[in-house]
Parts: sequence; structure tokens; C-alpha cells
Amino acid sequence: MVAAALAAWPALAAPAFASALFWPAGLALAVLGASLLAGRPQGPAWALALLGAIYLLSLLLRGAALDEWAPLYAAGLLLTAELAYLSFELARPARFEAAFLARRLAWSGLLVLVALALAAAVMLVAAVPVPGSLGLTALGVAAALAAVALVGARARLFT
Amino acid sequence: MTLSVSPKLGAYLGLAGLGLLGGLLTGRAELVALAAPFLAALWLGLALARRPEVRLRLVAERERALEGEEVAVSLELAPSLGLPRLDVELELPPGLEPVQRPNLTVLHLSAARTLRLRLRCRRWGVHELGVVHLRAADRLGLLFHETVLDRRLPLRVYPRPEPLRALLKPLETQASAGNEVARSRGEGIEFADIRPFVPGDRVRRVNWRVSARRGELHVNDLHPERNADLVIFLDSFTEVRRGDRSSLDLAVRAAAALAGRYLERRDRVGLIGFGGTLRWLEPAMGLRQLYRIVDALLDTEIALSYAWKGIEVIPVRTLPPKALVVALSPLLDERAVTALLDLRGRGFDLAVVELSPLPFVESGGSEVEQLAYRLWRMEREALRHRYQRMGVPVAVWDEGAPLVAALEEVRSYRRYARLYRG
Repeated sequence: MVAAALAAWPALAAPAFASALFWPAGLALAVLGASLLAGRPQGPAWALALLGAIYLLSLLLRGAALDEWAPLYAAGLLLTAELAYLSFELARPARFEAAFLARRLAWSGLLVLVALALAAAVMLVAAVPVPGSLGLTALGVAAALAAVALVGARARLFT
Repeated sequence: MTLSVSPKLGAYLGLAGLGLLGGLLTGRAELVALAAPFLAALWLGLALARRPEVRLRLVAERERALEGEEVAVSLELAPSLGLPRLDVELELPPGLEPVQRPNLTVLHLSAARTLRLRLRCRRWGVHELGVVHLRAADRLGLLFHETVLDRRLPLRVYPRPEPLRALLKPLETQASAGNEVARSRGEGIEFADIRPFVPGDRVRRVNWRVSARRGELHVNDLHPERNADLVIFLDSFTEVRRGDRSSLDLAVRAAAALAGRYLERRDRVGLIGFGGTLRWLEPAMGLRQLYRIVDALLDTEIALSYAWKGIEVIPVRTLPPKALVVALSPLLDERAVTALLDLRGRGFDLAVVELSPLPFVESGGSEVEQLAYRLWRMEREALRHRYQRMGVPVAVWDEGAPLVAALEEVRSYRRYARLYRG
């Protein structure tokens, strides 16, 4: 349901291009559904990437300056991903204790709230009128690389 | 512990990278906003992840069980740190199955706790429990730590007892006191005959009524109660199997039931496992002998061998004179068939319980297959007649029928054979 809302959103936000956005959105939903049914954990990533691309396309087509609903869309994407991967885990032939499921759902909910706040913070920073420059762009690239590197470094601790 | 990365981690990393790259290329902050939650999830998940350590102790409710019974097994788990997710799977040998499926349990382990599983013993044997697969994951399921712990825990599952009301009587009894009425005459309870008094007879055995009628002293003759020697001859050269049922299962079940019942009557019971591996237990009496026999039966297996073996390989003391030999065999291997004929040839009191292979064999669909099947059945009939001509009763025992029915068949054969001889 969350995925369907996310698929419908770009078309609703840009009604003039609804027909152009409808088919890729349907494809994203089909990929997600098929991967869930087939038990392929690689599928949701492709479906989410496609949904993100449709969202970007909608932004470009309607020429919006800054979409204030982006944090909600981002939180929706993360919620879809969390639920999709949880359903893969639940599909395993196992007895799941209620305590485990309750905690897992609580953590997913908390994560979505954090994601919402973080995406809103990103949008707030982006809304600050700062004149663009090469240095600022370089800083942005460096920040992005640093963020990915931090995650990588954290993951290396375990390997 | 072996570390593995979940597909979720790769997906989140890819989506975050794609979002950041897209944002930089297109200059759209929305894409960075889409990427940020995935990056945050990765950071949070990895920051909270810890290398797990779990101590495990495996305790079974008991060490011995009967076929078909349930046994509770406790897995005592003690983590050094709280584990948001732990998958526990106890690997089960083929003879055991979990009462509740599936066998894999996913739990939240914040402190030491005990996980209880109930297992059903499907087949007799010595089953080694103890291989436990553990998989711990962090709160968001990004990294998995897997390990396999081996806590050896043998569980001995004894064959299901077959109800036996009547047993085979041996032709000859032994010298010790027991529950079997001997054919000979002596001190006992069972009346045998009346004969004239001879010096040395006890006065209490004088039959006064007959003595008064005949005018001279007559005494009652009695049958003494003696024990018997039983040797169970278990043919383990070959078995016929279909699914989880086999002729060896029947043999072991029958052997355990016979040993139990004869030992209850203070008879001496021995065992010969005649097959690829020769195993034997000399006849003895008592509860200890019962445990010895059942433990030996649990270790019985079909060992493939092409070596010819005759009864000369069996130690002499294992086959005492006047012993009743009960053979449990599917009568498929020529070596076992010949050994039984040899036993009879050497004068042993022999009875054969044939563990019918027919329920395990299909006749086949084609005409040739059906012809071969009929020929095979006729050959088996001929073999049975061969035994019977030598005075050896052969009773067929199928899984569905009670063992006592097969024994009754042997008893009636022996009864009529004796009448004919008489």
C-alpha cells in the first residue's frame, strides 16, 4: 500500500504528465511484487530505485523549484524497503517469537521517524539561499563521499 | 563466528550512493533527501551492531526413550550482550523429528534463557543430538554472524515393544529352576503321571486314592519347572527398505520383545547378529542382560560384505546345547539361509520368523516384471517348504500383524509335528 502510494504520488503531483509516469510506476510495483512473491531479495532495490527515478522525472517535468513533500516521500521509500525485507525474513520457515517481531517493528518505525527528520533537515538546509560556487559543489561531493566512507569504515570493523 | 552481509545492506548502500550521485549530477536536493534515510539506516544499524557471543548448553530430559515417545530438549542460551535477533536451529538426525515444525526459532535474547523443544523419536537407534546452528543479527538485520556449535548428546531410542502374551516353548529345558514346565519328571508342581511306589519316594507324593483302589502304593509323578536357553539369531546381511520402514526395524523390534519376555521368565537369552559384522552375546539372565541385548540391537546395522560366512564363525559358547534358536530373517541372503539349515542339521531346536519382504517390494507393471515377481515368490515358497521338511517351522511376520500371531503359527506347527512324530 505504501509502495502504491509512492508510485501514484509523482503522477498526482504532475497531472499533465500522469500518462507518462503511470507505466514506469506500474513497472516498479510489478518488480516489487514479483520479487516478494519469488523471494528474491535483490528485487526491492531495483523497484525502489525505479520509484526514485520516477519521482525525479516528475520533478523535472513539472519544473518544481524545491518539493517540500520530499521528506515524506523519502520516509515512504525507507518504510517500503523495511517492510519488504521484513517480509523476506518472515517468509523463512521459522517460528518467530512475538517479542522479536514487536521489537523489530518498533525499530523500523523509529527508523522511519529518524529518516523523516533527517530528510526534512536536508530540505531545510537546501532551502537556505546560498550562492552556488565551485567550492560549495566540491564541499558537497566531499560530504557525500565522507558519508559513504563512514558507513564503509563502520562495516569494515566487522569484517 | 562467520560474518555475512544481508542483501539489505547492499541494497541500502546502492540506493544511498545512487541518490547522492543523482543529487550531485542533477543539482536536486530532493534526491539527497531520498538518499539520506538509507544512509542513516546503514549508519545506525552498523553503529548498534556488536560481535555476538553466546554460550550454549544442551540438556535432554532423559537419555533413553522408546520409539514413538516424545523427549524434551532444553537449549540453555547465555549471551554476553543482549542479542536483538538470534536464529536457533537444532540439527536432528533422521530418526528424530520436532513435534512442532519448523525447527528453526527466531527470538530476541536479552538475557540468559532456556529454549525448550520437544522431539519425537521416530526410529530406534543411538541418535547423536547436539549440532546447533546459531545466527545472530543486528537490530536492523544488516549483518549476520553465524556459527555451528557441537554439543554431543547421545539419545538412545529403544524399539517399540511388541505385545507378547504367549511364547515359544523349547523342546528341551535346562537344569536351573525356571518357569518352563520340563518334559522330564522330578520335583515340581505340574502333574505328569502315576506310577507304583519305589523305595526312596516321598510319602507326601503317595496318591492315596489310587493306592486304595489298586491295593498297592502309587505315587504322583510331577514335571519340574526349569528355565530355558533362547538364542536370538538376527540376520543382518541384508534388509529391504521402503521409505522409513525396513525389515531390519521389524527384526530389532521382535528381538527386543522376545528378549524382554524370556528374561522376565528367568530364562537365559543370547544374541547372534549374523551379517557383514558378526556380533554375539552369550546367553545370560537378568535385567543387565536385557540392557546388553537392547544396546547391542541399537548398534545393529547392515554392513555390506561379500565374504562367505557359515555358522563355524559363531563362538561355541554362544550356542549352548538344548537352546531354542529363534531366527529373525527376511530369508534373502544365501549365507543366512545356509547357516540356518546348518544349525538345524546340527540338531538345534530352530524356529524361523520370516520378516516378509513382500510389503516392501512392488511387482512391477510389465508382464516380464510380474513373471519375475511370481517366480521369486515361488522360490520363497520352495525355501519355506525346504525348511519345513527339515522340521523347522517358518512363520511369516508382516508389519501390520502382531508378532504373537507369527509365534502362534510356529507353536501350532511344532505341536502338530510332535503329534505326527508320536
